Amino acid sequence: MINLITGLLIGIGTFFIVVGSIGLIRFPDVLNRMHATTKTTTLGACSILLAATVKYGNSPIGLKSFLALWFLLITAPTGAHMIARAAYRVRVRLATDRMVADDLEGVAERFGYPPEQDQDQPI
Amino acid sequence: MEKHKPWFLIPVLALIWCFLSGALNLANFVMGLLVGSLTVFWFRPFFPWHTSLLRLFRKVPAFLRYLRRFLYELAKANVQVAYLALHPKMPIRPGIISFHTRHRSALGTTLLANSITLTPGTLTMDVSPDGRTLFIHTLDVSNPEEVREGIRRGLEDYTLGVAE
Repeated sequence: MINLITGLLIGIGTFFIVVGSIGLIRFPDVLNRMHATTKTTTLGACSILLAATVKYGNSPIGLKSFLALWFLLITAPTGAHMIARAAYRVRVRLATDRMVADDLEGVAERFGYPPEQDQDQPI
Repeated sequence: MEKHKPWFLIPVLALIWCFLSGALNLANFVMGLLVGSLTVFWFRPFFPWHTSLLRLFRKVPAFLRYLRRFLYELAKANVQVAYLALHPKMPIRPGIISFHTRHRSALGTTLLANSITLTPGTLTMDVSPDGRTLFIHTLDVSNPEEVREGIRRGLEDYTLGVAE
């Protein structure tokens, strides 16, 4: 029974990490790619860690996996947030042909964003 | 200095100590209490807010409600990303929308921002300096008001219960 649950969790985790990697390659720009990487790796890694917790229970491996799970839930979105913010600040070229709204445009200067750079030199 | 007394952290740190040392037993917990006390004592000036254990416990039901909602949204987000990543035409209409939050505390805003990142189609990009407005990158902004309403009802109602 425990083996069944463990296998199922590892299967789910692996599937979503693979799909996330495919998404990372296929999505058009850095912001869309962050969607693919944060969500899938969080669930993927968390279910694999949960599998380790279920399998090993009250032992060093099991307990540390359980702890790592919570820290991952806190740090993964924070990391994505910082990458997205940095990318927008240094004006990485976005897939503007597909974008339909940008509420940050215009107000961004007020938040201490660097001024518009020469767009001929994309980063 | 006097108003910062994050003593409620000691049992939490003791529990983490138990998890790290690899066995949930009384000896480890007592050891954790000792180490936790020293840590909290030394680092208390760095800790900006205070709460009591009792208030922390009172938040547990709200937190569990939030956790259930959050896990459901996380699963939904993953299925959506999987669908989009594997779809041959990739039907996305990305954009950045602003969202006015009802949160007033830094902790609450952080919790909401991180939850938004892990839920379907949304990713927090920036927060205005006053902490009132979140800027959210969205995979599908055919209807921005619908996205805002979804966050307000689906997440903010729950995080408000936990962190305000």
